[in-house]
Amino acid sequence: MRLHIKHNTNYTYETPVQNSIQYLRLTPRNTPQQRILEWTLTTPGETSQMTDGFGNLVTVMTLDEPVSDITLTAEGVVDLTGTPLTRDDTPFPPQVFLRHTPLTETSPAIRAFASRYSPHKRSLLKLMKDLRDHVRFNPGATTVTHTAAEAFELQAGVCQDHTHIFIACCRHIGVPVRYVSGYIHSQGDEHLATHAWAEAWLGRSWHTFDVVNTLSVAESHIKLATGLDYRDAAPVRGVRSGGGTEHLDTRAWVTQPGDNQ
Amino acid sequence: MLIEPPAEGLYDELFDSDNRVRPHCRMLEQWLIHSDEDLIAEKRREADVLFQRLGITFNVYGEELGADRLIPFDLIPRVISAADWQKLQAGLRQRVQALNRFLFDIYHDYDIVRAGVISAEQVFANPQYQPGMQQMKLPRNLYAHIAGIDLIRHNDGDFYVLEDNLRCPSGVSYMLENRRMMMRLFPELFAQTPVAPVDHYPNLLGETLRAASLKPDPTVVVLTPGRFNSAYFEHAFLARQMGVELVEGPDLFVRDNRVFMKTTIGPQQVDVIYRRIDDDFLDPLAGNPDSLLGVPGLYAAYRSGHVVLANAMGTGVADDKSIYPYVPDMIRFYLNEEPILKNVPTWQCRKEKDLQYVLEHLEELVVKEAQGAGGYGMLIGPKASRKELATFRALLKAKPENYIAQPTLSLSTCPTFVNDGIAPRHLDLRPFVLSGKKIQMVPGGLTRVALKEGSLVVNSSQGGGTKDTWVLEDDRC
Repeated sequence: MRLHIKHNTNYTYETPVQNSIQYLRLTPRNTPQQRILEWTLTTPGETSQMTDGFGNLVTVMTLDEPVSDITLTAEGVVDLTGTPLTRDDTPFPPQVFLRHTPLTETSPAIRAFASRYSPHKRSLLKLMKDLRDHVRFNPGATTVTHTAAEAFELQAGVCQDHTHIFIACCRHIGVPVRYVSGYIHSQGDEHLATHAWAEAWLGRSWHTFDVVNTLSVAESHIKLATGLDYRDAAPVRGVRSGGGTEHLDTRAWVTQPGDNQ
Repeated sequence: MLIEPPAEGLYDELFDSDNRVRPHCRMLEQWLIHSDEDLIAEKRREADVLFQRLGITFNVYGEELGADRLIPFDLIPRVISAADWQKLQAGLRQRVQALNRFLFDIYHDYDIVRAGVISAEQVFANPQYQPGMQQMKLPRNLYAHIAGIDLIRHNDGDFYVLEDNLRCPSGVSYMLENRRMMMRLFPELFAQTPVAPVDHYPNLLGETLRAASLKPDPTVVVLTPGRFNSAYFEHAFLARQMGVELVEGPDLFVRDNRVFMKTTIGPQQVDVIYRRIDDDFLDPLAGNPDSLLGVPGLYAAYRSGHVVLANAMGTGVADDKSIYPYVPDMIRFYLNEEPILKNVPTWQCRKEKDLQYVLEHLEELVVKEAQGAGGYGMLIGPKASRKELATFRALLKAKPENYIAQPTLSLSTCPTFVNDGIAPRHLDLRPFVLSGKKIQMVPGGLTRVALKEGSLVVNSSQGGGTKDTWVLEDDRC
């Protein structure tokens, strides 16, 4: 399946930003599941590239001139091959993904919830479904700094929260699991096209768990970055001096030739 | 002055088990016996004043800010024979070499895991393992440029490694100042005794840091969290001694994946950062996003090979107490040698059998946090109250993987000035091992002494003091 992606991230500031540095994970990699045919990332600053420890492509952008808004545009064409996830596509063992982070640390409530499941695919599918029922999809209920435990307590959140809670549960029962950020193509377009899901290691290969959509196949998913949690895989992480209050507007369109736009 | 004899069954650094002075310590014993009590008391006061004036104080975590305390300094040196030091030095070289090989391995092909020497989970699920270090090329494959290895001498007379410190080991400034103080107060002692010098440590450290970069004449800086850090004095001291800049995070910035220092004549590129900031705080864009101590973009510069951090990120996985039991196996695996220095037998509470043993023998054991440092959160079984034992039993059952346990070792003693004379007190030793073009160290290290009678806790944050450490260049005197 061939998909066209356009992703705009726009920050506007109350007062001019004096300078800024950002790590942008906005360039997908070629993997057995996705072939990148075209990709451009447009930013207003100076850029350089690096590959982080998870193998993600990172654009480092710096801005030295005062600006009152920053617009990042990622755009490209990707072929999804339909190849299932198999062995590892990162250079190190899955056990790295057993460790909790501040965002995925469990609470007694999560531990009680998670201990009803076992480290097998069927049980984890049930976990995914039950979790989706338990935690409402509710944009605005949480922010990017909410932890798994906090979102679980609220019983509400977005894909990032569902993914963090799923990760917390899996790690609690000894399943290596990683956070994936990326895009999803959906006909109904009921959710944002920027997306997050999880991949769990079950014995021999990675398995997709898209909690919000209760999908276990990444048939319409484009992967941008992976990591232990949102912080590792965040499409944008930055610091700035000046600027005052920030307003963020992010929009993404994932379309297939023939989609109604 | 009268010297209280050592307790039976313990190893004393000055006297043997028949209470005869050890041959290499005769000179020191004579000096102690013939020293006048009033003169010594006066010298002790003088030392206190000098240390206070130099500003060698430290903050204790958990106390109010600004509560600078003087680390008590004891005037009686701890003496190590030339023969003992030779063996120690060889053992330290071997150990640090193996630890650096281990760090390179686990961030590349992890042969030691594939070979089944240590489990993947213990290495990779360890919170100190930094995935961000995977497949990074570092000059000379060095990770722990500066290592502080804590040793104790058991009652069998052998040195044992208590723990390896591969993150930001501190204390070397006390080693240097203690020597300076002794030479000032008692110059005649050094005229009579062939004590190996230590004052070239800053030169060796500078050499090591420059060798951490492959550039011909690299710019080195010391990065400190600032003056509220308990080791700030040391950061400033070492920077001054090496003649390099002492900087805080906001003094540095990153452009084009390179690190620059703000100077009065414009930006200057930095090649090596001797950082005294924990991994998670180095770069708010890679670690803790709330960190104001680090430098945004530093990780990208590091990952791109344009700056070297000493020590590397992710060294903590090799000095973690849960990895410690495997160091002898690392030495065999990487170097194909038998370990020269002994490890303390260790029960890993993550293992069910070990945990059961520990719970049954809690009164005899020392229990430590696998991630802990500074003597916080540990239990000394034989000295613990019932309540403390019960607390630790509950902790062990709740999170066994967080703890290790070891037998209560009898740390050796050394005569020490106390309120009513000279009495034996327990001590340890932290030599500082520098890895650059070659492995170097100054003879000795920092000797810490537990000033409370019978106490085995030497940490300065827990009421420990320090002594000058003498390594003899020649034992025939």
